[in-house]
Amino acid sequence: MHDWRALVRSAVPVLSSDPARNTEILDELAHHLADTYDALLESGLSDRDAFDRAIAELEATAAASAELRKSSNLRTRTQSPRTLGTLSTPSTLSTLSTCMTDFRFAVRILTRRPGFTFATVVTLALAIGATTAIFSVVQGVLLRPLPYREPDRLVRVWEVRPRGDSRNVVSAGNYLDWRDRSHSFQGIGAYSGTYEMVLTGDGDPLSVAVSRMTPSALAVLGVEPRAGRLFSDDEGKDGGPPAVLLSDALWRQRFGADPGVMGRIIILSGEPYTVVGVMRPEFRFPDADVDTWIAQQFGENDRAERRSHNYGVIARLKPGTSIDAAAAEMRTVAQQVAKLEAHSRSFERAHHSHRQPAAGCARDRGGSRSSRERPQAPTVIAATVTTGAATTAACSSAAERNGRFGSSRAFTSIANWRPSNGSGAMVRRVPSKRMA
Amino acid sequence: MATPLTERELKRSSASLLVLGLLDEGPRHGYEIGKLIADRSSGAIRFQMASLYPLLYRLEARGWIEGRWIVKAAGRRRRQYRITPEGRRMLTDERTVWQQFVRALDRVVRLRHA
Repeated sequence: MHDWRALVRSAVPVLSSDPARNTEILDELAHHLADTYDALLESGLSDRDAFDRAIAELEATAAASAELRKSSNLRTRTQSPRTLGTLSTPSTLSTLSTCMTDFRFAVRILTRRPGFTFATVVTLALAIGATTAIFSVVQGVLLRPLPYREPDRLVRVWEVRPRGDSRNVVSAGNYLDWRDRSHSFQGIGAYSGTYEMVLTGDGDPLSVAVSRMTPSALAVLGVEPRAGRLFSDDEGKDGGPPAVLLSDALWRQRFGADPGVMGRIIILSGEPYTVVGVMRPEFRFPDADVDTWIAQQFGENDRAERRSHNYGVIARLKPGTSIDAAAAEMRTVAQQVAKLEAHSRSFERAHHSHRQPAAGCARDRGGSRSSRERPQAPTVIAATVTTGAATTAACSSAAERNGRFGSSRAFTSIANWRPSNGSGAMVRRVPSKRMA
Repeated sequence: MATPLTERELKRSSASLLVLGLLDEGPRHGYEIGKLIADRSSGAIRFQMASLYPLLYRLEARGWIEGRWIVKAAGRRRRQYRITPEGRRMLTDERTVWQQFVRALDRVVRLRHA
């Protein structure tokens, strides 16, 4: 037995400010629905189909409640003037009431049809989840600026292979040549991908995520430590004192936020390193999981290393230098390097510089085998549109089934070059955002 | 075949006549009025709840019909409508107008032989 009165009260907003009149109308509609339902049952329809048909009529009535309200509040010849005065419908009251009745009606309908409710909840949950996920990507890739000083001047420099991956991490030799021969950059630095080392001493051995960074890479980013100092130039030279920076998290967890940790020697995979500073908690380069940064040391012997591509390279454009100019210079540098490297493989093509953001480069863990980049802007936009359409479709589907409610992204990308070992270089403005 | 607009306009224009005519036969409640209209027109004319009750309330406001609650044998309360004397006068006028109109149409386009 269906409670038509309750259903009508749930679905239809207040029609009159006179409670008695309002009750009369709603009761009359409930009786009409009950008659409709009974007649449908007698005609041979199942209870479910008869109920759905009656509900459809109720929904149509609720949708036309404005007309019903207007007609039910017309001045009748039998009503007293005082009563008539109270029959004008207050819009604020009805608006609030509409919300409440819609809510009550939705609850009743959903509890009445658990299968439909389950399908709707699952559909909407998936759609909302997808939308949230894609928006988080949009936020990270396209909207949130890089947490570094003047992020529009930050660029990432890639190797460009004649064939295959157009953005490859860089060999030590190429990085050193780029560093020494380029003039477009205020600074240029290299960093490694994240890998694991074992921290011993001061308690149980602890696996920590490590990245190596040249002193210049930290300068390019323009970051400051929360305590101590960054790497000195000497610490970035071959044979210099091995130095390490601690993350804020490791400093707190392993060293109890000891302000005297600077200058201490820690052992990483059996090798001693001197703690020179503690980074701020928001510094998460090149990966959010990094616990320590070791000073990357390059020597002259590293210039010959062209075959192992292990480093990400970042640079800061000089003030007033355009990315196109930097790209052009890098092409020239590539040609120079190619001539100097007699044993190098010939490069085959140059790439035009472009500012297309390489979303997610910042999150690249720097491995030499895979750039593992985040999606590019057009991809993200396409995914956003697709997800939005899917969400709309999900909502429409749910409504239909119900029958009612039926940093700056700008690491600058420049051009490319083709180093003598067969790989070219490309400076690309990448979404700076997530170099943090 | 009439266009949806024509059907809607015809339905709207004849709504008062239909309700008053049925109530002229005797008191009826809302559902009964709607069902009789659909049955007697063989489904050609139907009033859903969303349009029937606004119509009844308008006619009641004009004083052509009046509604009152009654309790039927099964215990169900019904709001029953009956035509008023003024409503009956209006019905007479409406019938005259429609008869004249249908005759006029017939003379023009021979409706009964179409």
